[in-house]
Amino acid sequence: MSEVLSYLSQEQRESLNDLPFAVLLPAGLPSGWSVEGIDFDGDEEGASFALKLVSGTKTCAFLTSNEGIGDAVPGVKQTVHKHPEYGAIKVEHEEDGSILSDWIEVENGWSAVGGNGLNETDLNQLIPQLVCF
Amino acid sequence: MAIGFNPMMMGGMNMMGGMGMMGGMSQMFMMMQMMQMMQMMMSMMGQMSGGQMNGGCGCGHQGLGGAMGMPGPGGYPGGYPMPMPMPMPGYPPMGGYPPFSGGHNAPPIGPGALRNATPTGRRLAQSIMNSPVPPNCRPGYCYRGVKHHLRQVGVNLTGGSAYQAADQLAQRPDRFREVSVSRDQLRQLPPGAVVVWNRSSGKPHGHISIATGDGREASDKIRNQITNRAASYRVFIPR
Repeated sequence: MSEVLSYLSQEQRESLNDLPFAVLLPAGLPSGWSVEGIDFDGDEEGASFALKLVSGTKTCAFLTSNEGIGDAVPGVKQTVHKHPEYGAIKVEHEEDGSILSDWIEVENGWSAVGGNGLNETDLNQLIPQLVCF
Repeated sequence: MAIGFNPMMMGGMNMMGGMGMMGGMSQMFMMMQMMQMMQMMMSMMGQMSGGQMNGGCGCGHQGLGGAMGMPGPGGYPGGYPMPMPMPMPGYPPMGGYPPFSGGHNAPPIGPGALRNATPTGRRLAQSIMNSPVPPNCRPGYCYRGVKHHLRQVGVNLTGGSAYQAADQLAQRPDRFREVSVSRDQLRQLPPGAVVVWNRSSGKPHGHISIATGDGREASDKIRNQITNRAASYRVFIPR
């Protein structure tokens, strides 16, 4: 498992240990995707984390939060993606290209996959790789 | 026989299990079928009252079946097959989550309230238009976005999930008036109206938005007002 999260820098990997919740992140990245950055916001109300990826004009964010959450709204299309541990994960696709998956409960928080411009193939590559850290 | 014998209703039960007399057994089957029919009727009543019907309230308060502690679809403690309630198009089950605890007696919205923006509503809409997506608000953080905008008009909401806003807004009659609005009317809401959607199957957080007054809603982004979410909802008009 030495390649798990190898797309993150040592500093980024270590920062995961300081989060107030577990996070769902892809173990590895499909070709063409790269890390844009990691956001973390926290205050007395709660905290949120996002690992942002890019591939050309496509953006993808692996979100985890314990505050301010709402479920995906019904979009123009819904796709379903199988994960070996979490089962079928539904993703709503809105007409402007934005997507949001089901929220999955993790330790002390909820994780989801959001983004824009992703198609079913992208999601089939990314979602099965999700691992809880 | 008032009710025909339906072998499909017997699923999983040993026909001779412990029954010595055929007469007693057929009486038992009849009673079982009658109970199942009653359960099905109660489930249907629960479904009908669990969703927004045109002109009714959207709070999804529990029907007779739920109120009596009857199990929902998919489970019956006795191990007998539970007849599936007849689905109401557009109003699926709540997925095991409780209905909203309030809002059952909200009055229907009047035509005046649909047309007129209140000062607070105008301020809310202005806040949204000036900053549609608040800082750090990403897809799926609708509650964070709405909290941000409501803070601008002095309303502080708490809690992690969007559905939790409904009871808090109901406790602010100084700032909001709860009304009953049909799904057809949701896109006619005045600026600043807050719509809170309950949890439903596979959707543990619900959804919340602020009407912009032009048929759209704002929360984590601006989009056309959602009307087809498979859940009940409550609507709050700013005073």
